[in-house]
Amino acid sequence: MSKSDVVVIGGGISGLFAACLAAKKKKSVTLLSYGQGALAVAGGIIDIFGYDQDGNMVKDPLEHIKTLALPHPYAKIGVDHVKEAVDAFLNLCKESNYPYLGNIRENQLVPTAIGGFKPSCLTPMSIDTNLFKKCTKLVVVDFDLLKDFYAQLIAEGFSKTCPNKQISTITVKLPYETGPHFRDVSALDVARLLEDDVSILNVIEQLKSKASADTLFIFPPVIGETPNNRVLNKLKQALCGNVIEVSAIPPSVTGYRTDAMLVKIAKTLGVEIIEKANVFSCVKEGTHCKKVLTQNYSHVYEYEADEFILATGGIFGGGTVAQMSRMFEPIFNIEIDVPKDNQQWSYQYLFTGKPQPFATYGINTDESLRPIDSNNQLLYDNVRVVGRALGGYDFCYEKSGNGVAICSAYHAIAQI
Amino acid sequence: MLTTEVVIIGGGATGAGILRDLSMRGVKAILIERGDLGCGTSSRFHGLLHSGGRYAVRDKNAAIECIEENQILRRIGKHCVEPISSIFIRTPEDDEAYEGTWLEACKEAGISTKPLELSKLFEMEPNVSRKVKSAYLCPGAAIDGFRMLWQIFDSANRHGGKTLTYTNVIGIDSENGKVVGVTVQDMHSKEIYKIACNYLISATGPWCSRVAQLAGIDINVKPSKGSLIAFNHRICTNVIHRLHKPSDADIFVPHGTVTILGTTSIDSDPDDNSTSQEEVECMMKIGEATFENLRDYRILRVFAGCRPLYSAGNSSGRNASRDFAAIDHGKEHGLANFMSVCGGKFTTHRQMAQKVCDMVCPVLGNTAKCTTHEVPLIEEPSEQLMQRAKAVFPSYAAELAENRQGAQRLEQLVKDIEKDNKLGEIVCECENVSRAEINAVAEDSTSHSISDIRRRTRLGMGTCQGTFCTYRAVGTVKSLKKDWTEDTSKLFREFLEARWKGIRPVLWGNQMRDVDLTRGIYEVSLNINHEEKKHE
Amino acid sequence: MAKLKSDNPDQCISCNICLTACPVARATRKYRGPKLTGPALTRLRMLIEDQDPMLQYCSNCKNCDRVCPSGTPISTLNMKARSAYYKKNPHTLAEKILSNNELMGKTITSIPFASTIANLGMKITKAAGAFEIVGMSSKAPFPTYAKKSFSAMFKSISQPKCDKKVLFFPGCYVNYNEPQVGVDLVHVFNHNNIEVLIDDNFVCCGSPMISAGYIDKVQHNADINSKILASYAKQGIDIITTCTTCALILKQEYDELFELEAVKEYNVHMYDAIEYLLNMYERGELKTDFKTLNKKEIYHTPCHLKVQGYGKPTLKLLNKIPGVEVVDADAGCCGLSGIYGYKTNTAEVAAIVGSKLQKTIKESDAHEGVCECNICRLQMQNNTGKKAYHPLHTIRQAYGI
Repeated sequence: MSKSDVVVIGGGISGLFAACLAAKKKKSVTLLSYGQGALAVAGGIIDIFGYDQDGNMVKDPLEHIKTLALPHPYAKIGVDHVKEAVDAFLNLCKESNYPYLGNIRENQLVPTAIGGFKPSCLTPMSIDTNLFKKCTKLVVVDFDLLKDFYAQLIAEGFSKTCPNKQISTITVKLPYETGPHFRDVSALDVARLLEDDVSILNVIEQLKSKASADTLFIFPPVIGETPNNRVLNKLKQALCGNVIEVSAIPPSVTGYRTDAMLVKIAKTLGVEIIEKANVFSCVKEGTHCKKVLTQNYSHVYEYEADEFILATGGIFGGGTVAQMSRMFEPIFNIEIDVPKDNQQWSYQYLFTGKPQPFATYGINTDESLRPIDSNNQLLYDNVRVVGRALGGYDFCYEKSGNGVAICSAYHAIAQI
Repeated sequence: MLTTEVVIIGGGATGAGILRDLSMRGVKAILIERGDLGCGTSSRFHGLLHSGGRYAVRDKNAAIECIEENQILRRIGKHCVEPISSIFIRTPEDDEAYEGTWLEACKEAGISTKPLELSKLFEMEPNVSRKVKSAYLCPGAAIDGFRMLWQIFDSANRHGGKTLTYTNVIGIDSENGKVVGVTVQDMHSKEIYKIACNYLISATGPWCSRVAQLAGIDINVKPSKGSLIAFNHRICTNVIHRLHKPSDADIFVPHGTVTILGTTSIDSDPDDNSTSQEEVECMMKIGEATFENLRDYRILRVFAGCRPLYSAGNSSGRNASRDFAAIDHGKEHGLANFMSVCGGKFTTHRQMAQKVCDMVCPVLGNTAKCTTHEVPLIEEPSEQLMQRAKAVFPSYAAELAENRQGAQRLEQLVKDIEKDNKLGEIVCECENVSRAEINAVAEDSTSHSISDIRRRTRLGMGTCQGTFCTYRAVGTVKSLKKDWTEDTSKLFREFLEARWKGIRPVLWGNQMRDVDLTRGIYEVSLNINHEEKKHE
Repeated sequence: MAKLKSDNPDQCISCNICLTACPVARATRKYRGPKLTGPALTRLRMLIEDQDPMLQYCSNCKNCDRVCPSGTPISTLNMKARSAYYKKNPHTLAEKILSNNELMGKTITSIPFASTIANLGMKITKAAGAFEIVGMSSKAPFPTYAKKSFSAMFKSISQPKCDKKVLFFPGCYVNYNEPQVGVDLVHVFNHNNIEVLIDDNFVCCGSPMISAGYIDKVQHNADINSKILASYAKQGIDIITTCTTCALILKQEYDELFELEAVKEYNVHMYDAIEYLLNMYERGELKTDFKTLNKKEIYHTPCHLKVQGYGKPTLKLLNKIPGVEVVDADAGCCGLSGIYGYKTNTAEVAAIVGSKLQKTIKESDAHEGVCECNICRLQMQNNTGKKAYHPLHTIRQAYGI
């Protein structure tokens, strides 16, 4: 049995960030992850707060967060910690030589793979939205054979959303073999190819005649797989600095890079990462959690700690489990208050311009993010819930997923 | 004004069968459907090709019709029928005495029932409950409703039959107590026009009362809703029936890549295809007698269809006859050359069509004999074509494409991919649907949405329920520049909402995880809730 | 959550995370990737029969299983499908030869001088191009045969009588190729007052046969091994392995592939040697009379260890030895993955996959490599100019025994 100061359960953005912050405070940290976190599925951009309850885009996320009431996680975290969390994240990225752009006082408009925009707050260097404001000509860069990118769809979208810009598409040919004996080309394949010095020259060669000071090249998320901006810098150098990635469907290379960066930082800081650690239960004394247990083919492993961070995600991540008429958290066995009739969990339409009830279901906590029951009784005094497992917000509707993740992680670690 | 001999209303199995039969007898006919072909009852059933065993005890005639048609459809509709078997199992909950009665009745109806040793049963169907008392093998099978409809229409078209989809009948025109035509509206262009005909057949199933109302005629068709559950994979390799008096949720059909459990029987409005949580729970409870571990299997979605049960009296639900009714409105209501056809089963649709045409053709002065049971719906692909297909499609995709599209279209698909390798990409990875197939179906004049493409390809009908393929499908059809592909937002919403409809009543477990992922992609990453907002 | 049968693809929600972590998919587009080949096509395989030559490209390294957030048994679905594929398609000669590792080992190590001749013979046949003819790669780092098998060497070690006893499952590699690992184990355990037992009736765990698509044959081995293991476990005797692949097969795959009841009786008692020693250390039971060694080692974590969910005990334990600095190579999969790296058609892929590890080892300032897995060690030594040892080697050195 190993003993550490902090055990973090979950290897997504909230768990990794919490582990890094705790390690920075000189705590010994063990991170138990089961499966790779959702960062490689979702994008690596940090939404803080995009839309208010009426569907209006929020101009200043920080100002808006001040208006939020409980049980929204931001209301528990508080404005100061939100601000500090964002600074801490920006610093961490900078130290790792993969700096993020943006600030908490304004939303940026990140271009999407359907030729629209989504509001977000912090973006990697590959998504510099100022370029969108600056350039009057857009060239959507299609990679021949790349399956999940549709230049025509995107160009048409932009022609509606940006009527004053001149929009065109260009197809880059890559030396991919085709036919039934080859896998279809994904964004990650192209990203890996672009890491190769010869291949990137080939791409630049095909694009550079269109480059100019006010022409923006709109790329699928393929600008390198390693979080070091090496590929980005090469493309920028050759294309007058005007290169931007869009927010697209998984596997998300932008998210993959951020994930790789956080894992690297965590390892460097001495966090012990145990992969495929299937945490299934805990041992407690009163409201104090002594240890958590993992299980792998009948073997039970024990992880003792003073503090536990629950960063197992929501329904997608398996942090909360839904059955007919019931939802619960499976490790600490926390029941989540939900309507018995599943019909009340959702609206008739999936996209209604309103938050979906089921998306707001999650663990109820006190202001320091410790789980409480429906009578507000503290369930655990040394377990703190971060990220998607928290109840009280619909990250999809609000565009607040990664924001709540990093801010709740910061808030939790600040109390340890 | 369009002119034809016969107008058929309703693009389901009955209408399709009648169109094909008439066309093959040389009668000019136009079929009108208010939506897409096969979007009603004919695709909203469990996809069972009955052996008749289910009806043997209560309705001998229906049982005999089933076994006869079963043999015919296996022959003419090879590509739509999975030649598996039906296994009738008696669980401890089922009446033992019924077994003897049932065996006797099957024998009388000419349905073979081969006793199956339990050890053999568990070898064939390892997931079936170990509590089963006895089992029999019958000649039931699985049939793909969408696909068969398409092939019937293809066959009818080759014989001159015409179809107009997304066309709604808004009036029945008559002169001197005789139908002379219909007034219709194009659902897309909203244009209203007339079609003249000598005979009108309403094959609108549960909507028959509404259509007859257009001519001021009251008929008593009771729509009875049946809900079904689709599971993510084939949990059985044969159809599994409970050996008892026909009841709710007692049939499991392995249908393509999924398994379908059905059904319920509730009086309802014909347009109601919703399913409640109670219905799901009720079916799951019953289903557990067949598969003890049923709750370990992932539910993909639920759907429901309305049976058109016709009764002269007042019986409804499972007590009403499953036999079909052809109501000659000339004899019954004084409006000649108008017939309503309802009731019956998918399995026996061809025979129903034959009987209807035998009544209608003499009125039109046509004396040709029915040949629909002799001619296969589509041609077999040549071995050479299949080899070419296997050289361009990834594994498992060639045979699926051939089954879905038939030899003729397959040949075009193969040519397309041979010319441009990129078309061999798999757009729907769960059901192995290639870009070539999406392109070809989208180009068809009857396609007006991604859902229309789905019905002909199984796009988005697998594990991820459109999570990944919706984006790819929209991207693909956008480049075709059709009228219906103009509104990007509508393309996304139409398909994702249609998928959501079936998932919503079973929003828990892994399917809920999938919804989380779907929202993450379309709402968070692509922002489709707000994409129409201008940037500048 | 109910335990899912491994032919049930329902856990997969198509998120595609596995594709991002698959070392084979990174190396070649000839492989469709874990999600499609595994759970997605499993649904179709239940419906139609087709040839799927892409199946041969799965190396069964289990990185897909490691990153899957849903617990889908992806690699096992692949192996089951591969086995079904070979029921309809002929095996290559290489697959036949390579999956016969146990018979070859047994024969060669039981005849005096046979290993020298075999090792020499291997070099000659390799040079003569005979490997390519049967479909084996001449570039891959083949193991050499030992002069004497481990079981023969074991008999000549006189162990002290101890109250505490463990059973050692040596596996083919320790038995026939590198018996020194087993010898080190016996000395290290004896030093800690633990007697090591072996059982002559053990057979190959079956891993090479699973990779080569002979799952049916493995069932026989599984029956024999699981009965023996269960009989010791019932007496409360813990079972030790040094090969991470053997451990995975015995602990997990016998159950996933054959649903053997006996597995549940013994797998609680199974430990990797280093895991076992670290547990003792954490309980304060391990002797820590280590000498100062003054060396730097670079540690590679075998994929088959990563997927077992108990972290990296070697990294923790070796760093307790004074003067030893162990760094984590963190360089992905070695690529060889059992017989995968030796068949011509996949050796090319294996070489690309393993190149990052080779480069990392070569460029490292460490004196030697360290790794639990035998096959990984071959790759770590392959053109890197460095030796690679099992961690027991360092521990024994530190004990000075």
